[in-house]
Amino acid sequence: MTLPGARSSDWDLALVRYDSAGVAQWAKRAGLDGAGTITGVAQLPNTDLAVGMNLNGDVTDLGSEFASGLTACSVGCGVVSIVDSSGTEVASHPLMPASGATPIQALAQENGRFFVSAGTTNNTLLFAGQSLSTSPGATGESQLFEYSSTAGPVQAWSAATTSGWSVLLRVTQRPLVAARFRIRAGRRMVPVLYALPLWT
Amino acid sequence: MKFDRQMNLVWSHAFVGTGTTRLLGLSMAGNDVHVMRSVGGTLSAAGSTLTAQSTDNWLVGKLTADTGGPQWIRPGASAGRGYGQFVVADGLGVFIGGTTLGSPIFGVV
Repeated sequence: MTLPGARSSDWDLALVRYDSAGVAQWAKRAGLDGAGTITGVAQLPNTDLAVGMNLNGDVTDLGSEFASGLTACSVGCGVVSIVDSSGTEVASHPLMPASGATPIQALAQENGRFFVSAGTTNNTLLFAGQSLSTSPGATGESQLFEYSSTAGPVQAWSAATTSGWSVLLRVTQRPLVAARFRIRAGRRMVPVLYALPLWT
Repeated sequence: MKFDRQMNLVWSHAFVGTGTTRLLGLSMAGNDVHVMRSVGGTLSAAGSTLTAQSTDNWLVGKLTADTGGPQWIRPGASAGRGYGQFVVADGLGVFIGGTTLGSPIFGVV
């Protein structure tokens, strides 16, 4: 099975599904204007797959079959694409900052919600109807985004440092959704674990 | 490698080829283990032979969790380059993903 629309001079992202016997069921492509990486995946309760990516540029004009809705992003945008087991994109959630970058670091799923961590750079973006920013003027902040598997964006948290910078490294699940940060304090890097109480 | 609860080695399996390979991902579902590896050179397992088209190709393989025996291997090979980035198995199959440059081929070869 080939990847429809694959290009010889530019990078593509590929999503492929095999059945249990190793027979390829489908292959889907997202074209890239520049660089791109799949940085996290999470299986959702209804067998859909959430795929977190860091992309540059406009994938919509490149015949892409997932990561839709990402347009004119020159500095690095995150996007979460939800794909079902037939390869159909059922939702796409771009994280397109008005400034700075939003590279996705990791995904974790818990009880119908999934969480996306992003090690952001001086960004301002609109999420779930709210303007969210990470300390304009600083670099290397962190944000954690919560989505409903069915309804999309819910809420977000920012981890801004008063000086230095932080990187949100991983999100894990059970018993808590925990975000592991590394924060620069003076000349030292300090690991920080932040847990979200999910059952309040 | 598989270890029991006492950390005794149950089995180990190596995909041995003519080039270098590197483990990129692993996912379990039921009694199956799916692995993603980079491939350089030629690699044979479970009745299939994969030949990397460049120094940057990748494959996905399925092993039986009880024995480590390979069931199949499939390519993410292309005439250009590519990097495998994730493998996630469920009870019915496996999702894989990565970057490609060129025209990748997936499935039985």
